[in-house]
Amino acid sequence: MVVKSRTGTFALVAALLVACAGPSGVDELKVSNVWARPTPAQSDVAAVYMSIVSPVADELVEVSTDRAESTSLHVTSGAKVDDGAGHENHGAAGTESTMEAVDLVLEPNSRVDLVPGGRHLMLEGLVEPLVEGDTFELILTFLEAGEVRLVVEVATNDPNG
Amino acid sequence: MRVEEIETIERQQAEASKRWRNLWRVHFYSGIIVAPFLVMFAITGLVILYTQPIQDGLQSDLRRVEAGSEMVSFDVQAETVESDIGDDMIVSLTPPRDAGSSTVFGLDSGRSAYVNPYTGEFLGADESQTTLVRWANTFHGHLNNDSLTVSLPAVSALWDGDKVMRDYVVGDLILELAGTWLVILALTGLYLFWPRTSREAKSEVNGKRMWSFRLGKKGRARWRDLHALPGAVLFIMLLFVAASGLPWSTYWGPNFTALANEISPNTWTDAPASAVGVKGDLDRLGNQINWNTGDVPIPASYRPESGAETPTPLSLDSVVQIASEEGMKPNYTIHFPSNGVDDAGNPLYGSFTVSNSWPRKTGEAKDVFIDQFSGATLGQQDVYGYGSVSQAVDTTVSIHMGTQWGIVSRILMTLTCVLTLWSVISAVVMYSKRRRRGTLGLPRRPAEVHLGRGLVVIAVVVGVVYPQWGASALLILAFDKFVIQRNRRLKVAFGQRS
Repeated sequence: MVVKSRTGTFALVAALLVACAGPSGVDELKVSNVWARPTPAQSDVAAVYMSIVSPVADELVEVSTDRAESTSLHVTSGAKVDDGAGHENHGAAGTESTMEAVDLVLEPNSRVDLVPGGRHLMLEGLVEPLVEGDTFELILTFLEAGEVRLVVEVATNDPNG
Repeated sequence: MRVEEIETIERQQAEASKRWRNLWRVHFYSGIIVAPFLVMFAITGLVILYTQPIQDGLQSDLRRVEAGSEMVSFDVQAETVESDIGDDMIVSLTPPRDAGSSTVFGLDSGRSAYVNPYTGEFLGADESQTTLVRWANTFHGHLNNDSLTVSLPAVSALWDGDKVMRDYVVGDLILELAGTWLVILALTGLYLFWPRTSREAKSEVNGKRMWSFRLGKKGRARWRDLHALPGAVLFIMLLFVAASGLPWSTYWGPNFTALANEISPNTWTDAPASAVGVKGDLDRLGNQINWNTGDVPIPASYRPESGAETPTPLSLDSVVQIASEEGMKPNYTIHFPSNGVDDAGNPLYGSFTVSNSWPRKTGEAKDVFIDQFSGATLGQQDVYGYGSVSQAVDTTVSIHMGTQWGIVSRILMTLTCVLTLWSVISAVVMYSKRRRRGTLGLPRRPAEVHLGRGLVVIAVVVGVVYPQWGASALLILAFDKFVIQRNRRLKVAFGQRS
């Protein structure tokens, strides 16, 4: 890459140095794109989605947030009805969907994407409904990586496309 | 948020992650160190808790009799025993503790002889403890080999003025080491189990989460809860069990005893000028006498006024009578006096020592010294004479031995043993579920291992107070720095990425 000015070079070098400072990005678990859909007023459950990259074998030990009483990792299998508003109907008449709680286990050098239609973190017993534009804190604790504090964005669709 | 606030939060976050990783690794490895001991302590503990039922079952022909209406005189019972034991000698008498028990005579050889108190029939003589119970006690308290000792400097030399280098039984040192690692295992486990809280924590939410048993979960989440919840519930008991064992331990025990006596000395009974022996001499099976009373001198009996050549000591029946008048709880033991000679060559007469030793509540601990000729009570030592530290320790030991609160204690301690075993089993299950084939499944070692300052301070303090632990911790650090870090294959095996 050709940098045309001295300022540009300086900026590039500075950016690289900053990127290398502190805990090395390559060596650490990274969670990104953490988001959840708004919930209807009568519902007290919500699904949270994210992407996780881990250089080493790891597993999710605990999920905590002060917005919900309990959390779990769920997998939906079987038919699911998407009512177009981004809500999955669990157990509504005419649908076959089973939810199974599984561990979130990471293989070395792996990437896990939690997206609508697939695995997601389930929040149950919401203290108050999620509203578009809201943000709240979520703490993930991984066995090897330790605590990761995240900010969840509430949006109707994936904010990062 | 301002940039500084973000940076602070990020730094705190990095610290929290580092703390988690360090404590997870400490928990894992201290678990490996402690697991064999936990299994051994729990199983032997169960045997000891149920010593009386076990021995009554295994030695029922010696220990159990049909209740009768009248008891034969103890002196007659003693004579029956003497005619059957050859060269051996009776040194103590334990009157029957309930209607169905036999009389137990302790012998000089360490064995016991049993007599039916209603018929006077000699039932037999055997080792004082059945083999199972003896082995359980040996492993639970002494790790077997009393004769293997090592000479080490004593910390209490700093204040008790005794010599610095003393002999310690190696097995006991190892047990003490395991005890300290157990405390660390429990504390790190508690840290891992404690729910993470948001900055704007709502405590009701967190509280509910901590105690809910997530049975709906499958797989590892359930096993984590199965491992952690019983452990958390028993956290108090486990710390307590370790703490109550340590004042008895070989290295720290005497140091602690000396310290307790410095802080809150026991008030000794007023004894006559000459004393024959100390209470510790009566402790034939080891650790059977009340804590911190080994040095209590046994007062001498007054020489009888009659001037007879061979004074006759009191009859056993009289001693038993006096003992119950003094309010001794059943299952007390009467230790026979041992007579000696003083510097001038005059005979010195010992006294009967009547004592309630284990198992018993703290409030029931009592020693009474009875003049062997007159029956007068020469002195008395009960729990109210203990210094406050000794009294506290005695109470913790009674709770540890499952006697302080009767049947409730025993159930509680049985539960402690069983759930301790379960902690080990569930930990092994979790490890095997997590371990990926072809690896050792050890926690990942970060490139940089630095404990936070608070943890280092704690570690140093513990290392000074429990020097064996300190030595073992230094050894592990040295092994990590000079062996593991220098060998690529070891580094990978221990979970460090190149």
